[in-house]
Amino acid sequence: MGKIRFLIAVIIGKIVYIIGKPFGRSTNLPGIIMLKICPDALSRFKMPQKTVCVTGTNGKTGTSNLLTHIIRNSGKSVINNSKGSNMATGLVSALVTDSTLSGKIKSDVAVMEVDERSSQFIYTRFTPDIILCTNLFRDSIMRNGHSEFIFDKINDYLSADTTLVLNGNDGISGLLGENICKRVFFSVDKTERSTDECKDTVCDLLACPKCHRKLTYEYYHYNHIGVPKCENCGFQMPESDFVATDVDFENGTFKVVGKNGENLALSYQKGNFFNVFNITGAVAVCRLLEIDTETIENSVEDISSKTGRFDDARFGGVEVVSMLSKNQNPISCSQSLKYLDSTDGEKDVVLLITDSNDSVHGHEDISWLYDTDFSPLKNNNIKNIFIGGTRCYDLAACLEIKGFGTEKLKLFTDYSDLANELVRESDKDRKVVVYFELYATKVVKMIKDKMSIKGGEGE
Amino acid sequence: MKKIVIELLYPEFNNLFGDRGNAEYLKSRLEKAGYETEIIETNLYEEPNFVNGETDILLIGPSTEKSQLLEIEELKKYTDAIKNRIENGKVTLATGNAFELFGSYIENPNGERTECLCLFPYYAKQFSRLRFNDCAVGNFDGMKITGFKNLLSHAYGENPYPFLTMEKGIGMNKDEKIEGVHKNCFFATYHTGPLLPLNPDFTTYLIKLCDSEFAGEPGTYEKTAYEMRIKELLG
Repeated sequence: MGKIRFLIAVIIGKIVYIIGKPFGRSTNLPGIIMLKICPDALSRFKMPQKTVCVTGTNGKTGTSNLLTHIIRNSGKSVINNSKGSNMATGLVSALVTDSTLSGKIKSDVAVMEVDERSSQFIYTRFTPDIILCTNLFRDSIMRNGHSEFIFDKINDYLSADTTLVLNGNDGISGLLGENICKRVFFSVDKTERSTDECKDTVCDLLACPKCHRKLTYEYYHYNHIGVPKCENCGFQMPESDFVATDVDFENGTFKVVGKNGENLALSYQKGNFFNVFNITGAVAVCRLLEIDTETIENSVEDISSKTGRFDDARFGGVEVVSMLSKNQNPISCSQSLKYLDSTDGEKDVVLLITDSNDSVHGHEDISWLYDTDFSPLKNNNIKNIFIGGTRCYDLAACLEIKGFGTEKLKLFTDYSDLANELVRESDKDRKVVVYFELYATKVVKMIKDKMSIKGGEGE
Repeated sequence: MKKIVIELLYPEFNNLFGDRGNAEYLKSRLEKAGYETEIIETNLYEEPNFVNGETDILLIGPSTEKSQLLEIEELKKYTDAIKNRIENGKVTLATGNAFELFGSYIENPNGERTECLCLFPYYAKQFSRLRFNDCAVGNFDGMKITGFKNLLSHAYGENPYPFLTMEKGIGMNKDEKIEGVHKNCFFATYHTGPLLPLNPDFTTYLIKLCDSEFAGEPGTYEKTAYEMRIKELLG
């Protein structure tokens, strides 16, 4: 009976995919319908030779895309869920596009990005050969609570048949799978920018996970990512199998040295140190898949030179840099703001980081602002700070409490007022840097459109 | 110059949801009004300053469900000191699930109970997987207190000293309108995060409990944010 339901679900899933595609409803809807018809559909697909899942708080999407790219370059076909959601419905939607009518996945490898909270509904349905966890940090309070809560959500559903690839600089996610499955670690060696103390606002691992005494760190890369050591009980992270060394911030290059004698010369997007971790994790996975080092090096080079973490263009003569900043994620937001430390020249900053769609989502819990490191906003070359949205006063209050001067702040509850004032104040010698959360994309577009019109009028 | 000592209990655990905002805001308000402030951070297994020293304001934030158990074990050594602190009218603010520490017990989803400090009769029950979120407004002595909740538990049983009567959002559990504890200058509430910056007038009230001569005024931003939030939530 279950088998018939599954076959019906596959046929309907394929039809929904074809009909939904022109309307942009093909990446999640087939999965929603299929799981209604056959709730255990995910366990009934005949999965490919290798399945890799990528999870963690930050860097899942970039790492999954990189993995897909490298594996394809090695000559293998890959199915992934890059276009859809990272929950069970998104995975099912992706798989049905690549399956035969009997549910056999045609590709050689499946690379699936998995939302941490969906672990229960995914890892109990099929056992991935490899799970790469990029890191675990505090994230959206309302969805994720705290990192220990998320840790348990992953750890409780791990199988002994999975190999975990873990960040050896992360004392939280690095403890996943202990005494459960085989674990392979990657880490980044001390760099010229490593620090002796946690300079970021938040460190999610201050106490030893074993004896609960105050933890010390040999050094920090950022937040709690570093080399934790407990002076009381001797806790430390296991030795890494793949280590990134010689990180050259000027040229965006580094090396990865593997335990089996691998030595790869790699590049990363300059200014995006997160990337070094993501690439090193991806290298570890690819070596487990026995992909040769030359293919990995060349594939990483392609990606690093092609993609950027932000959009940079001129509108009406004014350079506008816009950067996505995940709402409710203080670590991601803090890291994006660091861009301000790395650029010279006068600039205006626009903060559209609180939920612009809170009339639909409900009143936003703004607690995360107090965990965000806004110190790059103290740069003298910032002339004006425009803050938009219904929670603009909360953000301004947070900045004032953290000791920021208020003279540069301009507050707008209405986004079009903000855009008009920004355009009026804009100057061709001054860059505009816009930080926006996912739903504020339309506001960024409005700003750019108005900038273009002003430029046209001025010429 | 007057000095106010703020003690943060176990900040290595009790800072999950922007809770540092409370100490930062107190410091900012006090220093603007010409006070000197000292912030003492007490780690787990250290003797808290309030036991033998002077702590004007004691802040205890929310912790993970596992570290909560470690804290209970440790704080049991200081039950008398906490009891004295409450009776002597020393200012204490416990937020989030720190509210549960002072009740009688916490029951986990498997039915196992951990005895708490037993200073008040209520008890807490944890639920299994989904967290409970809320954005709420409660009334304290005519003052509207607003805040956020992010919990894996609710509290039940007798609560003879409630802090808030809820006007929006749930109380200590879904069937109750009362929430938290207020006895003398001891306040505990299920609200998490930067409760004080969200409630500038309550912050003034709290500081005045330490020094009745405090004359500082809240800033325009937090005041406007507070008024907007109350208006939005109560309509």
